[in-house]
Amino acid sequence: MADKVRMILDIDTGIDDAMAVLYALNRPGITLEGCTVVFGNIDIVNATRNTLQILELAGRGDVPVAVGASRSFFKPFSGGAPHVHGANGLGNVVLPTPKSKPIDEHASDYIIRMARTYPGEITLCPVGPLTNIGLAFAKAPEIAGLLKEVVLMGSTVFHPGIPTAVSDPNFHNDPEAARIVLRAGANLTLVGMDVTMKTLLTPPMIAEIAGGTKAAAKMMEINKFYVDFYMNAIALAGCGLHDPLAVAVCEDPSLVTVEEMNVDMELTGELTRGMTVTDRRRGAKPNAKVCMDVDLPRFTRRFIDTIKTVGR
Amino acid sequence: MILDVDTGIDDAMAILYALNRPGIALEAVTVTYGNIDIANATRNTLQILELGGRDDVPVAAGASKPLMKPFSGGAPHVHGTNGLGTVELPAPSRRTAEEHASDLIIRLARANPGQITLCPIAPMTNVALALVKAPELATLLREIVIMGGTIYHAGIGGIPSPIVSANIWNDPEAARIVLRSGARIKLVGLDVTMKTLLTPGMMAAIACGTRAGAAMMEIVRFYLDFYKSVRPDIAGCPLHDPLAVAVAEDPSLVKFEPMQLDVELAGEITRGQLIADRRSGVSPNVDVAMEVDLDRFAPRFVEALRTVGLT
Repeated sequence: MADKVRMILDIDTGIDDAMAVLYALNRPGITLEGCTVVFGNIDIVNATRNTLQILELAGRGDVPVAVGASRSFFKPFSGGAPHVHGANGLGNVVLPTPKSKPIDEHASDYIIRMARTYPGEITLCPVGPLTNIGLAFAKAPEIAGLLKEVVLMGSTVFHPGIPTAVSDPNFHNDPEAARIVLRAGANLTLVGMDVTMKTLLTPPMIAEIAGGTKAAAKMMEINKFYVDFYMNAIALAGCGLHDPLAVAVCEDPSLVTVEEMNVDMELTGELTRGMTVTDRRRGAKPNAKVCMDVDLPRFTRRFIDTIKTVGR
Repeated sequence: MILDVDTGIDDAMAILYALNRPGIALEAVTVTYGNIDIANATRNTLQILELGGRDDVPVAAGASKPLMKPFSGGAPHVHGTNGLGTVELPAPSRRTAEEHASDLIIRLARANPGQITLCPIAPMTNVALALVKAPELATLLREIVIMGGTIYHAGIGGIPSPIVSANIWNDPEAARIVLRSGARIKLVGLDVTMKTLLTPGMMAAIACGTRAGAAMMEIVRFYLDFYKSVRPDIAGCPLHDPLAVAVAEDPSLVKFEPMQLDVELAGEITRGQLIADRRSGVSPNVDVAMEVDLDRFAPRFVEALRTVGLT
């Protein structure tokens, strides 16, 4: 039987981040050691409060939360995506004021400390812009080798991008940080739009989850805003489970098929800033496992069962 | 057809193919640098036309370097130091026209509105110069069928951008001018040409044909040897330029996907890369060949080269 995954989840909570937190909390194969917070879907203040609230919703206010970057390496925060996640980042649903507080340490220092204290044991799962991770690797380059692995939500190799034709939101929000992470030499898996745009949470699935625990029902209430955006603004059959898929892959890599590729980040392109550039020529040395396909029925069923029982 | 070339071994095969297809009238050949320098490319073009028995086809020399940079030496390791696999053909008996390649393109398009297919199988410097000088060229030309670019296929070695093709890499600014011109454009790139191979069996069949076909296969040996050394996994050498010419005559040889294409100019690792915007609601500007009917093209190619120069 495999050891439990000891996870640090780096998040910009965010509605699919919230679902990723609940999924991590309720999986038998995952120990959620801590959450580190970054700007992204929403500003850092909202994202931090949301993270504390979601943990308490599931009855796990004991999980440490460390606040991180409020802006990307190059740019001030430019407003996030309130049209996708709501003005407060949780679909405009108001949860009780959190009783717990974040720890004193900066997110990047928490990551460095945990990697050094538990060499070879920590799985880092970034599902927001990579600023905290970039800071950690730049300050302490050796942790790239100390982390067991880094499984991140980001990249698109073939799928059309958002917000540009060729980049995904997380990498686009901080391309400099993404390049630091891609070139750091860590054991890296990219869970990108090539797979996450296939993992949709549809209305029947939502109904099944909403019939579960109180926490599950509340999460589906928060999710309404996110689903509305996906089904009305971009006409998909459900909302994207980007961040939960990355967490799921940490526990069970057999959910996806991967291709080893040489991956880099373009910084100066007029059309291509933020693009995941793959060198697939002969002799190119792979530096990441890139997810290319996903076992949808297995992941979908596992997601529903995990969220609908959370907080029991 | 006006064929814009940088002859070049696969360009030479493309010229002979164009000469010997019933559906193509080769009106003129315009020459640029690329595989080799302009002087060699021009001489080679005159020689190949004579080899094919057609020294009546006008040839106009054009750009000797890309828009923004000096000429970088070409690819003598692929095409030989003279651009024809070091094979020596007889010195050409005629000269090129006085006219610059870009002016010949403008003149013929104006004289034959809606009728000329421009087929650039080289860096697009001449075409860009023509379009900037006479923007109406975009609508006067029947269409532009480009050999170049790649959407998915990994690109060429030895350069920083990993997903580019030689013709676009050699002059990305020119490529952008062409792609944004508003012309009707078809793109025949590495996604199809790297599957379109001249095999030893096909070479043997052509070598038994006319004197021109046999001479061409002697020239091709250098090109085949290059591909054997870098890609021992593929069973021949790719027919990049001939496929573009074939598609200009018969688009049904490939399946197209309409895309909105642009070229990245500023990227550190993406300069020269074709960037496709495949999001929904984006209007396409290029039909990009993504699949090729090898069963129909291969025998047609063999037949065209086997019989070229027969009067």
